[in-house]
Amino acid sequence: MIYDAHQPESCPVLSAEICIIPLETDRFLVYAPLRRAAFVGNAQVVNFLADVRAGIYDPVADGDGAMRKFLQQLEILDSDTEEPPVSTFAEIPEATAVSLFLTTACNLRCTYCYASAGDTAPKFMSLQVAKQGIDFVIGNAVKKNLGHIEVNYHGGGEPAINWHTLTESLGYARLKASEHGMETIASLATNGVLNDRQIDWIIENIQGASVSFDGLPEMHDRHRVTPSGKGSSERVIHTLRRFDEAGFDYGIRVTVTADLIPMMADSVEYICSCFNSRHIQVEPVYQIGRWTDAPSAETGAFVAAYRDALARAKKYGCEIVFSGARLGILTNHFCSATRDMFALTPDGTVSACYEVFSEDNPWAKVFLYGKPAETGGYTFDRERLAFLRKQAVQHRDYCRDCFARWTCGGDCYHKALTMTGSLEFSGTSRCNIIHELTRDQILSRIAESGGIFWHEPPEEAII
Amino acid sequence: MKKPSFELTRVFGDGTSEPAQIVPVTQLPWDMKTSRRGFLGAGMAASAALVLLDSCSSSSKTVKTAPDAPGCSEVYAHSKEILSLAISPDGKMLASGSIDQKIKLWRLPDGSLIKTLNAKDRAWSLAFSPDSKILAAGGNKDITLWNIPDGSVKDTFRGHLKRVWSLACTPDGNLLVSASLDKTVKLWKLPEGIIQNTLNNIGLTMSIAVSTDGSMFATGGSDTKVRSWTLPDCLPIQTLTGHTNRVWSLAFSADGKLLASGSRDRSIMLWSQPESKLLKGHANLVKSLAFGADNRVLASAGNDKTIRIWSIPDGALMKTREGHTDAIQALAATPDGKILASASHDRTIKLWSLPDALYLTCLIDLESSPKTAKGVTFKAMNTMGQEITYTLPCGSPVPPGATCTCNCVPGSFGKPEKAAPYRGGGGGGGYRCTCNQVCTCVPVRRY
Repeated sequence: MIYDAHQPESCPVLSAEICIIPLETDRFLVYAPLRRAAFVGNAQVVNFLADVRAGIYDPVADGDGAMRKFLQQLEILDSDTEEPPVSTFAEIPEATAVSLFLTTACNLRCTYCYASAGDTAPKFMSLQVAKQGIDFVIGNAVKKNLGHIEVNYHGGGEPAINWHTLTESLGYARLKASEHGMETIASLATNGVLNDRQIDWIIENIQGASVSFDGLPEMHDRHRVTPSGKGSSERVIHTLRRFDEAGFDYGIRVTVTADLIPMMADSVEYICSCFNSRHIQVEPVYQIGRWTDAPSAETGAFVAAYRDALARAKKYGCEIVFSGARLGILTNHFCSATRDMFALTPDGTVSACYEVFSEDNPWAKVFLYGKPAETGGYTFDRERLAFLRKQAVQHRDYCRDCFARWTCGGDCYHKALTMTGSLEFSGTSRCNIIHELTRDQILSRIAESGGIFWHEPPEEAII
Repeated sequence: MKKPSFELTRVFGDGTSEPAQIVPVTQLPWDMKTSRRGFLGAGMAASAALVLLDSCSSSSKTVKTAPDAPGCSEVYAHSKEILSLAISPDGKMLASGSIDQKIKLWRLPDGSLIKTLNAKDRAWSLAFSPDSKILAAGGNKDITLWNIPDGSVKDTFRGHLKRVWSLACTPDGNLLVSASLDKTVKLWKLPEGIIQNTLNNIGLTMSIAVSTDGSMFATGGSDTKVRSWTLPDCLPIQTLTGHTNRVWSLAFSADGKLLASGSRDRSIMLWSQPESKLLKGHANLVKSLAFGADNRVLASAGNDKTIRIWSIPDGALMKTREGHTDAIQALAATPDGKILASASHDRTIKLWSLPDALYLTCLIDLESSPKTAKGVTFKAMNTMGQEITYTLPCGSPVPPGATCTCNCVPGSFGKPEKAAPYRGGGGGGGYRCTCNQVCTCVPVRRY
């Protein structure tokens, strides 16, 4: 007897967003991203689910109802309504974290620099500009009754070049935040070419740093060079050793160019075996800035090398990550660009993107969305803000049927704009990497859970 | 870029009329050397998957630091509290001793039970000879030497007056060092069992470790001190102070550069001349220590039921694993440092990978488990051409060519060739089938 939609009391209800990922002949990965559940089944399993969605259920074909029960336990059938991770916004941004692009100057001339740092007249953020941003986030944190604010120092250039504003602004933030009983959490992105005095200060004052380091010294020195063309690995290694000696918490960012792909796993193994950092972000180089016309590293070879690197890192208890493949989280945004990121360019303009730090950027009109007000605070371009918020993944038609959308969050919008020139997201070659590596992560979760299924509901549901 | 399309739609199969099947993932995709195909096992009926989901794994909604592996709930390695562990120097065998007066030999890395030795005494401590052919077991007074693998008693050393807390063999196999509740440490000449030396003025010694080069051994006990002694003369080398309570565990790193000590004061000290390092994190007595992963990590465990992994040499706490429900009594790492075994008063033995401390599996003996316990039992030829019966937790991979002797779900692995009465020593089922990848489980019938 076949039940149909006219007998709803007998027909199971599909209660999860389901993605079907073909693996090999007659083998499909069935993935319910919002349930954080997955298993592998044959075509009949897929068709069973498709029929259920159409209101068709054949209890005879399902034997003793085992398939129904199996899917119920994974919350794929007959469960409560899913809640996609969709951001909500205040009318105007109420950021409690500020990213300060302290300067466009840099002490390196990396061949692949996305910012082409050093090619143009350097700009430096004044302490006053930094203070205004800090005052803004403290005011918001007070309104929200939060216990902390965040101050992040980031690029365009090397933040440590603008040492005065870096150290003084953090001192100011700490002082002002403490007046309201709040802590200040500080982080820094650096190229690691620092002197000992700077290293000491960072260890003492910064909670976490991301250091750009490409691994094996000969690999690092191919691209990360000083203005005179000398490799910088020796200086960076010195910094990392100092961080290790002090027990300082830092991550390493490895940028992989096409020529370095064959050495990626060796570089990762070198980092894991020689330094204490256990968090390594590995990214194929962006074809922007100085690397615009260089060969792409967003290839199948990158994926293969990443898998190799992952296996080797595991032996050392190291975690390597690629920004777009992150099964551990459910999100509707790749970075904060689509949810009111509050970053300040050296002149104090509000930017939503780490890579847009001046009006000279071709996409400045998309990402620069606010100006400091003379009376304090900021005025925001509501139209640009609304446009950025609309770039969250749930609004993207291109991503609608992608299994990775709730974990990748739609990938880097700036990168997509640069590559395609179109305001409407239409995918990039990074999508292929995201699909491959996210699929790997799902399969490994199944394998690590005993081989049959993976089900790890979001934390909110667990609690 | 073409728009990705992974939505749920009807698909075409391979033309067969097989029913809906769940397909196990048998290994990680990136572990495949030449092709990404082949990481999937044979399909199974939803009913079989449901059995695994219901009975052979923890609640799917419960997320723990180390969730129970499939097939490991309500199964045990011993019928009473486990006291001791030792891994053979060839890395192929794990021995466990228990209050149940049985010593069990388990095959590594899969963890199947090889043999049970009736010890007539509790095995408080265990140590293998360097050639892996002798297992010494410290009992309530005596030390029994067992021939391995046949399990016959080779000799009994008598000399201690109370339980033998700790045992260690020198790398040359010429000496066995024992520490006893009778407050003596004895050096026994092997194989004769002649007492070559006795230390009797250092108080109660709970733990002994012999250095990898065999030039010295260390003792730790009630006086809170860690002492090192020359071998074979037992001359004092130095006394290390730092702990504030009894020293319960000691371990030398394989390269001999580090000595680790664990104490009732909840701390671990890493001794590396001229420095020492204090590792804090445990909430209770540190009962056992083991170096692993080429000396890059130290594993520790004890009465707080956790296993902690510390990076070496810096001593940073890398992982904390929960997986036992009672005090952990013993840890042992394989010589290649890749597998860690933990044994607990909860009667279970668990295997973990190193250095990441991922839970691999549990060791099960259905004879020591409740009658409702389930397991996968299969027969396979060993390298000697002998047909051996293996028992593993539900959901464990079964090697190609093995013959399931229980837990077969007819049709899951191909059509049953014929019904054959089970002739083995502990399983049930009654169907013969060839298992390619994963054996699903139904209750084992025991007699």
